[in-house]
Amino acid sequence: MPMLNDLPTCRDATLLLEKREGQPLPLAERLRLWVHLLFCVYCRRYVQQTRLIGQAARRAAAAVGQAALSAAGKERLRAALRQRGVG
Amino acid sequence: MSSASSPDPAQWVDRYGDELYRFVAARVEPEQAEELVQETFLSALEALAGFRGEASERTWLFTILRRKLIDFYRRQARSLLEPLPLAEAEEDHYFGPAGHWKAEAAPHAWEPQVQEQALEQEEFQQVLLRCQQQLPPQHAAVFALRFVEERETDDICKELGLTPSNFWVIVHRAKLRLRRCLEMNWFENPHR
Repeated sequence: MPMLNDLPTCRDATLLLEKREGQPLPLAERLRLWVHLLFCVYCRRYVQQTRLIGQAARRAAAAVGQAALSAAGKERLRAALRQRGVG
Repeated sequence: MSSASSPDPAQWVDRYGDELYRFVAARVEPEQAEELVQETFLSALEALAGFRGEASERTWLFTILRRKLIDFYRRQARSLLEPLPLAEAEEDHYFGPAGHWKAEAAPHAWEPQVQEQALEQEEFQQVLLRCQQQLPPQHAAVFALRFVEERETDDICKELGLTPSNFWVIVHRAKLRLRRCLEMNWFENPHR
């Protein structure tokens, strides 16, 4: 059982949470993180919110938005192509 | 040759302009998005002789655009004003000397229902994109490569010349900022 006095701080715990999503943590680190989360409501919120952010960023980029080139933008692109002898 | 296998650059802007633009406009600022589309067309023009018609013209252009986007992130990440390791000061906005959340920075509870709806709302997505664009350039690039493009950690480190430990520090800082930006501009904003 990890000792209470070597539990990660919130600063460390939030960093470990990010790492955990990308690579397995050593067992001792996992245990200490788990105990920290048991006691820390802020970091428990953070776990869930940081995941939501990743998920939302992916979805936002995949969403079919309304963005479209302006008429001027299209003209600039055509001009750039014309300069290279197109059209 | 059929039209599917012979690219027609004179039609590119009308046929694919908006679609290509939309893809990058969901990731970068509008001006940058237009520039990436232009770079794509010009690169495609140079590579025209090599186009074999194995993929559709559209797929081919998107492949070039994605490569341009990754190049953009790489440039963005390298346009560093201060070299790594960055000052420790950044985390100090959120955590006190003992490493615990500062009262003013500690995560508030976000209503579950608001979170659930946020994922589907275009207004939320716009706010998130604006928050991403306010990150320091290197943070924005790392965040996008990891969470939007879903690149492997090793690849990102190699492409951007980062050590794994610097990579995680940047991911951590980017998330801390984004979380706060979203809390202020969405989850606790009465005008949501």
